[in-house]
Amino acid sequence: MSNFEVIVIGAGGGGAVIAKELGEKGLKVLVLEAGPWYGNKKWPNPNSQSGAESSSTSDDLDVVLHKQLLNKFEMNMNDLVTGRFRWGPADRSRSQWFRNADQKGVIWQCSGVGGTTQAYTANCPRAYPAAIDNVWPISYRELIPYYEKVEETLPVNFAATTAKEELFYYGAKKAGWHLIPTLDVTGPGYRPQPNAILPPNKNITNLNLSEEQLSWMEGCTLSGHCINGCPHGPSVDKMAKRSTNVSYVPLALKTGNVCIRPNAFVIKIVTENTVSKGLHAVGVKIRDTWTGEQEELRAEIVVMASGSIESPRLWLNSGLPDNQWVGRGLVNHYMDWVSGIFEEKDLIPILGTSDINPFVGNTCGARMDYPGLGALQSVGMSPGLTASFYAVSESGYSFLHTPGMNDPWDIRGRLFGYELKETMDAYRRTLNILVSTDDEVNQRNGITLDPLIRDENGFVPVVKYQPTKQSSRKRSKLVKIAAELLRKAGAKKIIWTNWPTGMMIHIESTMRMGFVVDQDCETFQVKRLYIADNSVHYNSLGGVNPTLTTQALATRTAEKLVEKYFN
Amino acid sequence: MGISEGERTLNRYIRSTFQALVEAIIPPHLKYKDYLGTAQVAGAQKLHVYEYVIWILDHSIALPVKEQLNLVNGAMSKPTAELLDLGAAHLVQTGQILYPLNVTVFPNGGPFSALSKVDRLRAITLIERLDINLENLSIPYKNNPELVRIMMDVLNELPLFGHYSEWTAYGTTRLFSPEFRRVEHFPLGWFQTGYPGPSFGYRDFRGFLATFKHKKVDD
Ligand SMILES: Cc1cc2nc3c(=O)[nH]c(=O)nc-3n(C[C@H](O)[C@H](O)[C@H](O)COP(=O)(O)OP(=O)(O)OC[C@H]3O[C@@H](n4cnc5c(N)ncnc54)[C@H](O)[C@@H]3O)c2cc1C
Ligand code: SF4
Repeated sequence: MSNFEVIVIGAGGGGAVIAKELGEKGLKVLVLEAGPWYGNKKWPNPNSQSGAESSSTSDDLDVVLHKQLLNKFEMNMNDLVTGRFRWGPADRSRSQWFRNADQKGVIWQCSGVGGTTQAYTANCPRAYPAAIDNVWPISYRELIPYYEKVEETLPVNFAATTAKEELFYYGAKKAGWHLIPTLDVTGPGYRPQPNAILPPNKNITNLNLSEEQLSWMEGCTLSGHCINGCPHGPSVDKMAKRSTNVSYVPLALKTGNVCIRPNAFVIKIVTENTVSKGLHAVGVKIRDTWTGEQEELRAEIVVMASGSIESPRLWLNSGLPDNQWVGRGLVNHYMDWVSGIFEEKDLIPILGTSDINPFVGNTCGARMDYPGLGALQSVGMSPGLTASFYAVSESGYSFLHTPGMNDPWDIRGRLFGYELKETMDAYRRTLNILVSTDDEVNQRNGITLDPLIRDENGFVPVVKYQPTKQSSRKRSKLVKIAAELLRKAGAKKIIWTNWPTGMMIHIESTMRMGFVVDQDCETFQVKRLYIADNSVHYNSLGGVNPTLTTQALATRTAEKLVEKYFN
Repeated sequence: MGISEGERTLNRYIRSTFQALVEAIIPPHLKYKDYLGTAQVAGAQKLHVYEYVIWILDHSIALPVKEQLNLVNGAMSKPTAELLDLGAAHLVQTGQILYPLNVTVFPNGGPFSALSKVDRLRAITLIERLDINLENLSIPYKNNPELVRIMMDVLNELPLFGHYSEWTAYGTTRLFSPEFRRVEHFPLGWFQTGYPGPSFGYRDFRGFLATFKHKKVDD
């Protein structure tokens, strides 16, 4: 491989963004990604054959292959152990990579070009200004131009309305909340989801074009597979859902300066200590996930963008200097799940249809924001995923909990047996709400290394999270607001699953700005080592989805890095 | 490759235990159809969902890690079945069962599969509350309360995902490595819920509640 100025570790939410930004500034960038690459000609069978070594041109992107691999089957795509979108090696005949969790729940991250954004639902709200100003080392105003640039590039738009969003808005309005059609949220209200999904094609209701024809045109077809990976669009770079593999990756390749190497697990950051530079990064050691061969690669700058678990793990496994905050302070939006079941006769006057059909439209098209507490979002998924979300509960089985007179729910806890069947029979008349809490940073939560167990990539991480009392109080309030919204919309039955503490979908803040990295995201203790993923967030952003902020910061970091080292 | 009698007995034991598990979580039921009567809706046992649970338990941990956990031969399904039995035994010994034991339904199983359906869930509840002696468990559960609690959610999640996803339709290929599975028919769980399956799109476009004004940013 030829000489590179910057090595980026990870091609997910943050890594793809900084690679594109640096490539545009003329730097030679090598992106090392642990997982597979779907939709690139050089890896025609990415899950069973090793394929080529790297790709550096968008001519390699293959829309037919992309569509064939992202086949919309929920287990094939989303199974946490064997799905195409899992945290594991490209070779699907092998197990996923091991992690130790210290609490009930699910750690949901994906390897591969696109990282976890392959499965993400593309919600792109900005942080609440109140969670940034006078809290973070930088101000909200400083972030705005970078938010704007990312919103323009992805691009971000407000979600289109289908039945489930209409019902959500109806309930929110009846519950007394106001529409807040804004990007900078300062008070509570509901709004369409700002998301990185292309608006539907103007022909979406033109019956002369079949749905299949529409799926080859530009624009969202409202097919409802966002969480299973969206295969709809005329070319890889014009897929409707803007995961980074279809948004920033093609743009990065188009600069002519970026090379991406999948199946390359970075197992060590290599440093040197000199009088003039102090302790600084000079490269990485990688392990080919197919052959097991190890190799050392060097560059002037190394950027970690391996996500909030692997970045601290890599730091610790590399034996970089002690820091009380490396891996610590993990937040995960202490999530919860509330579902409303409706009756046909109640839906018809509101929607004009007797079903909600949660599988239609963007997976998460509507939201309610509440600075100080967090956010609520509508979620509609395929039945297997929907059912599995009813299975995880801190309360155990629902038969253990008879609702009290004043409880806003009819069922609390994990569903089973007849009750489960009845709920799944009503699948098409169900509206689910995801609760996302503004949880607090606590140094006791986070990533440590397992002292005994290691895999081929080093000691495995232990992930620990317990919410603070304050976070629990906030979540309870949000659950009540969600239940009330559903009731006002006309739900006949409300199910509060009471998720356990470890439902990790939005993992952030394990390498915090001001503690591990400075305000330009260079680590304090190792010069020329930057971080461009969720881990640098100072806090949980108020409870809003993290990726847009990561991408805005990665854009800013690229600028700062070039100013400091390449001017 | 020959399978010894011991292995065969073990496999039967494991299968019976997980059959009993999925049957308690998703039993068959009668669904009122129309004035013509009711229809029987298949439960998870009939759809072989227990095979998915066993498969995942045995394939979720990579070999080098399994070795460090001393799990090489038995994999995860065996200690997990034993964990369920320990909870069941405790339920029986403390006189908490609601219905008599029945060893004829799953003759190859242990105490867990002899319990009535609701008692199986109550045994899981005991385990979940850690009302059992963690000393008596085998690896990896021995003295590992976090893992014990995590698994009680996992043991519910897997049957639900297996039953209501396309897994049941992988039919004759269902126990193959994922790259070699093929969907052979329309999944029954999808049929039961009215989910139409993968789609190219829907026409249910109802407009926009708000529009986004992009600020042109110069590079
Ligand atoms: C189902 C789901 C839905 C979500 N929906 C949303 C949403 O709508 N909006 C939102 O804002 N967020 C959402 N999220 C969260 C979102 O996906 C993450 O915030 C985002 O992807 C984080 O970006 P990241 O760069 O920190 O990590 P990732 O996107 O996970 O990228 C890290 C990459 O680094 C690679 N890697 C890790 N370690 C190494 C190593 N040592 N060597 C080489 N490569 C390595 C990984 O394979 C991965 O590709 C969702 C998450 C899930 C699971
Ligand atoms: S609804 Fe989701 S999966 Fe379907 S076309 Fe739109 S973005 Fe893609």
